[in-house]
Amino acid sequence: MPGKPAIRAEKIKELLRKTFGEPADGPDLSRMDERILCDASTSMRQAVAANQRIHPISKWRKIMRTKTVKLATAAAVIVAALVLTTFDRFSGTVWSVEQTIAAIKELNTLHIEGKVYWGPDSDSELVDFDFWVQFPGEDSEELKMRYECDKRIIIVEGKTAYVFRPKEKSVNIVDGSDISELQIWYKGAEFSPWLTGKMLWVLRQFSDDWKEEVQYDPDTGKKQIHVTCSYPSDTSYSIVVDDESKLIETARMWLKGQPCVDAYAFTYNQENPSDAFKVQVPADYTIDGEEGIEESRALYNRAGQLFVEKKFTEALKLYQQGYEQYGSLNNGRVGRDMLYMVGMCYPEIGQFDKMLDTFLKHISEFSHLEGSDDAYYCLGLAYEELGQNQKALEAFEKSILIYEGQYEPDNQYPLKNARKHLEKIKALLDSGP
Amino acid sequence: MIEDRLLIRRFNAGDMDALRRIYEKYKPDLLSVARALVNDASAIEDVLHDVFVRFASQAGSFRLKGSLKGYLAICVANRARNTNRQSSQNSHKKSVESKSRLPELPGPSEVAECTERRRVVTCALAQLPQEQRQVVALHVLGSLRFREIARQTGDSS
Repeated sequence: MPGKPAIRAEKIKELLRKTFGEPADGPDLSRMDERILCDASTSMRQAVAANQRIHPISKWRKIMRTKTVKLATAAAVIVAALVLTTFDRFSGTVWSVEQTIAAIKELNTLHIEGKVYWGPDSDSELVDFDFWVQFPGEDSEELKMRYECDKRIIIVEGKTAYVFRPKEKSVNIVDGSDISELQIWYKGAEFSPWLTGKMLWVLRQFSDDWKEEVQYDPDTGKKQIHVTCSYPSDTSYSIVVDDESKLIETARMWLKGQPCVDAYAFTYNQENPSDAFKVQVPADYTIDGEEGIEESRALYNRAGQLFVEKKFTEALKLYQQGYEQYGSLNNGRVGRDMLYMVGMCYPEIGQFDKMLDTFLKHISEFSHLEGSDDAYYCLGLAYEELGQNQKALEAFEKSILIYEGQYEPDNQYPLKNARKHLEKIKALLDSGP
Repeated sequence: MIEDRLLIRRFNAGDMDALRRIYEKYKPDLLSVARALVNDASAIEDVLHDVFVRFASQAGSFRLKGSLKGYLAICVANRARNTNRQSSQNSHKKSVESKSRLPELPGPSEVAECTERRRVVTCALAQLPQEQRQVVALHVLGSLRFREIARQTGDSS
């Protein structure tokens, strides 16, 4: 009975993972963890203490060097400026956090359209983006956001963020509170002064060139307030505010003189698209970070260990448990692998009828997923063992039909094996009863 | 990884939980890489220890280029190489004999599974040139892409 994965390179990889991934002869982990973390913590404390001698403003400049933080800052400035223009009216009156809280509470939704330079500085490309926000309110207690460009789609529901990568066909489900870009919005949702007061305070304190200027839109003649500022010196902002509504109309940001973000349209309090915050993971996407994934992997590994030790009955129980408990995770891939291994356990304990049932079920449930294509080959093996040669022949033929063209060279598992079995069965059938 | 960037930010701010999270997040992969690259099994813990203590000593000023996992995995690989070199120098007298021998195997009381497989795979891996062994370990066990390995090690071959 062939093992899985069968392709040679994959087999080698699997073998390496099994061999070195297991803590069989490794150090005592809990003791090791304690020792490493204790020494590392001491080292960290000393390093941080030494580093604290740096002036706080220098630290701020250092933080502001990263593009991520600059982008997040831009978002913060946009909202901060929005609040400022709504309540301050550029009159120089004292601004308070309470005013900001009241201002944000007024907003239900926000939609920003724009362009962003994506990628490393030297090789960035301009991509369109859309950004929808639904603030917590009467309809929903949760902050909802959707950021979309052709490189990423990020949907946030409360504290959970789904990061889709269309090119890689993968989605990462993460604790949104751990995503730096989203922090600013979470803080905003919590009416944190970091989003409003502190950020604004930092800009107004440290920006040497904060300017507010009244201008008139050349097309509409509407009165606008143009705000420009920069901080640090290589990061500049330009924000246009409608004088009547006191809301932002456009916002732009430059890094080292190069355009970075151009948010050219702001729409407020309009109904967001009904599916803007709907999370739907396409079937061909892989999912990382899903709840239960780690547990399912641990279970799969435990069962695999039992399988290697030839404790097939015990392994079977765990694989079955994994299939029932975690089968739907990662778009069914966990179920696919668990059930496959259930099917591989049965022949080891002589239960070919159950092997047959299992692979029939596997085909019925998982044939749409990649990596499940040798199920037909296993089905053929089960039929063959049960003496149902005609059905075995059909299964092997089907498997060859599926595999041909998929494997290069085509003389490897499962194509090679399926052909061999097919020939054997044809010879048997030709020789008659 | 966005999560890593935040972790690094917290780490640089002296957040012990961030250090612990980084350790717990990457320990399994780093251990696998160390197991595959360190000839002396008893030195695995020291390799991981040294890498994390050195990493922690950069708190407050650590700048991440590329992925955190890639950075730590390369640190483990480099440290493993140094450890092997050191261990080889220490046992110079026995080198002729030990070069042809398999790395030390764990005793039967310590390990209940896969002794034969481990012996064969370890032996096969040990026969690879150090650079190739490192790439195999980083790619398969550290899950790093070849491009990232090349970038981190500066070796594109």
